[in-house]
Amino acid sequence: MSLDDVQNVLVVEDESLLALDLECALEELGWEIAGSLGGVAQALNWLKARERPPTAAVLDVNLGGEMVFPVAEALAARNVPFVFATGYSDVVNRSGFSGRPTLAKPVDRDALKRALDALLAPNQ
Amino acid sequence: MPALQQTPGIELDADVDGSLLELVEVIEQLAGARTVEDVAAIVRTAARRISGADGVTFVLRDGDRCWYLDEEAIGPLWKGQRFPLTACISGWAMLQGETAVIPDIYADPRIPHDAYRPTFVKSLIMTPVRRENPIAAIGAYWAELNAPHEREVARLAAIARATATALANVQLIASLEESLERRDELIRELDHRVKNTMSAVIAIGHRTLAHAASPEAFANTFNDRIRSLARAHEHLAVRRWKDADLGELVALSLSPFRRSDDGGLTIAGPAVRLRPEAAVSFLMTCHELATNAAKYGALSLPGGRVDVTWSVAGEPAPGVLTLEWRESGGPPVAPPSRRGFGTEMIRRGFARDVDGETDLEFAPEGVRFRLVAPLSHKISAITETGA
Repeated sequence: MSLDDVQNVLVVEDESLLALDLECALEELGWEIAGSLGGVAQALNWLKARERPPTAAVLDVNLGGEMVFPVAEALAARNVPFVFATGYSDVVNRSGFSGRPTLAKPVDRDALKRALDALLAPNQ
Repeated sequence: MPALQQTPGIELDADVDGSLLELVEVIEQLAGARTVEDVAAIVRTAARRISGADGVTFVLRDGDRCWYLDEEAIGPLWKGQRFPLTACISGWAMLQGETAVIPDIYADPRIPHDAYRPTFVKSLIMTPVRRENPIAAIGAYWAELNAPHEREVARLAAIARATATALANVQLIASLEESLERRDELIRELDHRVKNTMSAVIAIGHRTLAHAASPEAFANTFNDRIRSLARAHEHLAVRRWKDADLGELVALSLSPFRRSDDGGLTIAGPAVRLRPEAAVSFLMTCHELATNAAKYGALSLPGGRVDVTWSVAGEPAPGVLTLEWRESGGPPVAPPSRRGFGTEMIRRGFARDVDGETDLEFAPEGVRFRLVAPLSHKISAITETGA
């Protein structure tokens, strides 16, 4: 496997405890953590500074009161597939991203695996 | 019920009857007003009709200014403008709690003549709304001298009394609506916290299981971590989820491991407040440090010391919190063979939440942990005054 083949994932989650757990779950699924950020500004800066975008992203929707959608827009502009994780699916439905895959929090491992597999499926 | 008998010889004066009905009608309308704007609209029309004035203004007290909220008049007055209380007659009426009756405005020194020159006004009545600590005033203006008489003054005073009640109702309705909104907000907030707590418990369960050597070890560590989470919640609940005290959280994290012989515990630093979310991860971070100290570090031997000290520099802005956790007097320390969840939580838990940086050193003489984080809405220093 060359370096280019490594699937890496961006995690955006404001609560460190949940972020640490999500990172471990992703690693157990064979993903490399490209980055793990807790806020919109941090995630946007991280994306801007990065030459190669990540393979995929998992985005918590509500980051301590601010919505993750600007990060979703930046990822969509770079053709990076992503999945939302939220306790409030209606928030995603009311955003411009209603068609995007959404995981219910607390995130279930199998659901996470299925969602990421679907993101990388060739004709998604 | 017997029909009312009209006393012979007394006939209701048609004029008195009419204005009485008009007043009652205004009072009814005011009773149904839901906003200050409603009140203003009712008052300006009614006051003009009932007083027979050429113009009426409705003035609200806005701190040390009078705010000409609404008007109805034959020519423009001061709608939308604000003047200092001390520079206009409505301010005088509100400050004195008295009605001003001015037959000739240019002969009265209380009137700011320049403000009146572009208007039609020659005489006026200004009456405060609410006797105690007036909150508004109603002005009636005439284009001729000596126009207001006792009857107009009395009628305006009656409207002012009804207006005071209406404004009190408006305030009551607003505060009720605010309470209901606040209640809905609290329910949403609670729902959010419950979901977060569930997620946190599941995360802790996963992470603890991944590193547990046996079911018993899992149960012990898991229990300790959930209890720590519960202590964080209790601390926040006592403070009504407003904020948390950093020093108290440090003490809470160490409390399960304190022994009667532990003379060596320092928890010292200035008052620092944490937002609820940051408080939970701070206590979890300290819990992992304290657990490690109790199992392998300074708290595993009598005579071991833990010194937790912190300081705030550059306050108020930009402001940096520096916290140090130093253990000494314990057994010689060796770095852990693998990076467990506890170590990750210490390095990246609270620090990640507050954009801070950490340094965790397993020095042979004792664990050292250092955290540097910028002050923000999540971490704030309280300046003690009069200490």
